[in-house]
Amino acid sequence: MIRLALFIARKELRIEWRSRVLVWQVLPFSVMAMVIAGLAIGPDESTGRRLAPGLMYLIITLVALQVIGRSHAADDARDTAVSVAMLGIDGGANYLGKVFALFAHLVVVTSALVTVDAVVFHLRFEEVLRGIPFIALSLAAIASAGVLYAALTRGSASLLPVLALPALAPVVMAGERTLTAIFHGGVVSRWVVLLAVITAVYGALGVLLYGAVEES
Amino acid sequence: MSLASLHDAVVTAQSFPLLTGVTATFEAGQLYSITGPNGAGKTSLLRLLAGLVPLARGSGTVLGRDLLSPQRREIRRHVGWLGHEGPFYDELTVRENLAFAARVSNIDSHGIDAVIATVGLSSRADLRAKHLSAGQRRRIGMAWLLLRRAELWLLDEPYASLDGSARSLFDDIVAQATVAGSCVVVTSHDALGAKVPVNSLALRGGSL
Repeated sequence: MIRLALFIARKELRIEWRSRVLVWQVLPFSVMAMVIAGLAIGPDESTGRRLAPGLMYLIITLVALQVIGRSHAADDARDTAVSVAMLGIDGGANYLGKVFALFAHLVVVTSALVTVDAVVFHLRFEEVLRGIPFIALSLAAIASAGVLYAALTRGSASLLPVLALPALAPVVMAGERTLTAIFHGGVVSRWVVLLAVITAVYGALGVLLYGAVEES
Repeated sequence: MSLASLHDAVVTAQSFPLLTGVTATFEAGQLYSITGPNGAGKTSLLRLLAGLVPLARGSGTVLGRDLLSPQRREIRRHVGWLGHEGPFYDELTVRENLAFAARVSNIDSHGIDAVIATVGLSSRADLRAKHLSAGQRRRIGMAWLLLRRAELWLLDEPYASLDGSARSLFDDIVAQATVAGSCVVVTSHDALGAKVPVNSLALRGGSL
């Protein structure tokens, strides 16, 4: 299943790379949003450092919804939906492939966002480095939940945010709390456990149910 | 040998009847042409045979699988399908599309170049599908049918967007498949230029 999932992920990444939407639209949008947020907050360093994690996660979540919707749109284009359905792809492998691809997309966007975040809000390099594993875990949670909600909403641009945002709220909160704890001191373990549980639960549900949800 | 049979098959969409009691048998090595006006239920019949939609009433089996059971979802793994627009992903090349379909369907991909040549797309094998004309996109679908070598072929308006030479090529492919023992079910507004005997079935208002 994993080999098939990686093959599917490669297909998703290839399609996204060739469409250039991530590079020319999603990345500039996310960077601009972060810079504008920085300008709006103003030059006060302590305020910026306090708000930086939350702003970053908010933008990551919006970007994730965009990318998830696009991935689903590619499968729904023209006759593709029926043709792909007729291939009888294993639902679990398809889900994992899409999760892997979305995770990779989010890593690219987040790398740029973290850099901008650090510059705009005066974060220290070693703080950011310490936060990377936890950010990666948050991205895994967003990807595992997001792909399942995309299937539930058929990638609808209006319905997906309405259903997925409440579901992603715990991820955003846990991610924000984790980074805040790293930047300002505090306990990260309970938030990490929460992120791991969310990733595992959505991952398991996705592998088991994705095929049936797509079918319905 | 019967590959598919339907008895008083009813298919609905949001309570609207798309098929209103179809009884038919589809034999191996035979070509079936389903004709009828728009909305007669031609595509719904193909989708039923493909296991894409459930039976609301009646009974049926396709390739030994009961259409009333969850087994119907397995049918699609064993049939060849050609839809209206041609298959798969715009951003992948002809070759990549076929390689993807072969890999996820556990089909040997060694014959990809041969089937691309057969359908006349060799010079465009590395061109993305979105840069192909509608007719060329349908040729990708034909290539996939050849690669898949399914027992049951379900072809929805296969002549759409095809020029004369592509139609002739399509007729050859269908004839070869039929002679090789596959059952080919075609919906079409146009008369088939078939090179093998055709079993014609007329659909009207959801029934034959």
